[in-house]
Amino acid sequence: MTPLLSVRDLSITVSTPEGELPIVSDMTFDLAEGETLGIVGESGSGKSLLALALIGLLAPGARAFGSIRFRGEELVGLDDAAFCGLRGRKIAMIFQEPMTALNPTMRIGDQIGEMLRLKGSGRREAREAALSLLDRVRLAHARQRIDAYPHELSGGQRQRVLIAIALAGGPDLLIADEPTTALDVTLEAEILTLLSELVREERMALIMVSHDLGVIARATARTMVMYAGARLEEGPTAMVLGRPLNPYTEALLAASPASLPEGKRLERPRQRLAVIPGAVPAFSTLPPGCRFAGRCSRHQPDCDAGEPPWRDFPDGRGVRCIHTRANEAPA
Amino acid sequence: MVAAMVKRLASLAATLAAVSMVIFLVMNVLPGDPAAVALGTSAQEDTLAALRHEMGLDQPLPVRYVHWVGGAITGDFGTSATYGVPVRGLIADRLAVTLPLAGMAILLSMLLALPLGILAASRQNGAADWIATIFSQLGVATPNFWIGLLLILVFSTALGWMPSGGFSGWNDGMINGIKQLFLPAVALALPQAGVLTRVTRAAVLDVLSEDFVRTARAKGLNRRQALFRHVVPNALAPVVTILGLQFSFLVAGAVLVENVFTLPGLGRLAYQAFTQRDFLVVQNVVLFIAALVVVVNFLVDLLYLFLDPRLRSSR
Repeated sequence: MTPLLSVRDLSITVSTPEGELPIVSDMTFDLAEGETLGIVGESGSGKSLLALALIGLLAPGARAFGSIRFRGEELVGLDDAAFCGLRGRKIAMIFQEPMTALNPTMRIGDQIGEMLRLKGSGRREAREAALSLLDRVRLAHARQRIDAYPHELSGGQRQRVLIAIALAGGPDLLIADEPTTALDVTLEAEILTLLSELVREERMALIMVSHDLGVIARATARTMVMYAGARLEEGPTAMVLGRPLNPYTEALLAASPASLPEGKRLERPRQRLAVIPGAVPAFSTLPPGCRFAGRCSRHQPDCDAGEPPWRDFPDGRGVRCIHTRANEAPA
Repeated sequence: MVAAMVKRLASLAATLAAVSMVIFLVMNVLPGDPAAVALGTSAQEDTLAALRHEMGLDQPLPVRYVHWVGGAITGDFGTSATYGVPVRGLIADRLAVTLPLAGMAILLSMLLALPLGILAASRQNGAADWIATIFSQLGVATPNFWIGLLLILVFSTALGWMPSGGFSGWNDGMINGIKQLFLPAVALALPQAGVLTRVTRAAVLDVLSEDFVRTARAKGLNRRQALFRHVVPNALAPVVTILGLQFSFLVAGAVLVENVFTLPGLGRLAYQAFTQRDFLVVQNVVLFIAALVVVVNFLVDLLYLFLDPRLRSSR
């Protein structure tokens, strides 16, 4: 069976004053129908760029190479008119900033119903649909709020509206780019629970992009760890976060507060959070070998010999690190 | 919303009061005796004094100010010394030329600038963008009276398509009137369109980079749909601001352009009255124009409330 989404050797370049820089490289993964994948990495790791490439909204100056197949259809190089037929209807996206991601001069009901109207629904029909979508995302007093403008809603309410917009077309794949980063902790939990329920009920596949391991752990079954534009580790979320194979994942876990769910918490909750020394390398001066080498605690001279190859293990995990031996991977 | 409107109305009244005082003071500080102008150089001293008394010029300044403003509010602007008719009628006649002229100029400049600015922004650094930039630079740099002279040379003298000036009144028919006002309106519109194109382009570019445009695209809207449904409505506020400000420049420009095209408009009336030292006419025309500008800006403020729902709830 062909997977819902199949990404092969995808790279994304961005043109800068110093020339075309490869920001994302050698990206390969599959996503089955209804599957949930978390993409985690520090700011500037290229994860948002990857998400935008999947929905064909790369900024001018950014270009994708390689292959993204959605239900067998090639998306790299697809013209915008054809992509417009997919966006919203098959692939939807929720963005990071609920405060700015809604049109300030348009009533929220109109913004939710807009794509239905474009598909040919009547005004009343679109409004009814918007109302039931607002109920689905559990916006309280939906009937009174459907005619509200975004500035009349709180951050959490706006994020619910954005989710309703994404659901309007009944997509098969939902991409959420840091959907809770701008929200406080209690709201974050509510929104994550809501997203998980919706994904299950609608049988949507989900790609959750976040820098927060806690968010990834709560919302996704599989996790991919990105660093400086490359994937360093991938596998079932519980395994990746429970027994990381890559020293970078380990370092990320050590640097995270105890926001992980039970069983994935750090041993000593009172210990100081570890800091990963140094910073993500600039894309114009990537090291010759492993991209993480300069900050890695297990760095050895042969790490710099060349970029370590990606290795897949039979248990569904994969890693990019020369230190990981096959027998380290749990059976 | 009602509170916001009341506040703006109060500031409108205050502005008009201040403007009227400045006009009155300036006009009464300037040298020149209206009574002497009316009677000519050979007038006798006692007839002059009698006329001054009749015109109220022998009364103290505050009394004359209150008298003038009181009259203006009730629509009584007094009688022109040179024309010998009520100033009110003079203004009404000239308004029938200047208002349509200004309206046509604003319409033309919007018809030129809005599409050009939107196109330039949506194809940044493309051919349309270059054309828009060159057009707006030229428009901003060229004085309207010079454009007027150029238009007369090309379209009246050389090609003979349009009249070179004058206005025979609206009784000759709408089409004829519009034709006579067309070249002056173009001369007024081009410099305005230059500024407006730049403002529109900048405003649209600004909104294009907003997050909600990406949300709209992620819904499945194509570039054009996102542009006209989400970008343009949010880019209108700065454009409307400039339109409001331009109205005062338009009226000032009308003084020059009406003289170039010998149109019997408000600007020409003010100019002629000034050269003839018909102070009462100057004073009232200037007050009237100031009131017009202030009222237009008030309407622009109201338009904001309509364009941006965020302003409606903030007080």
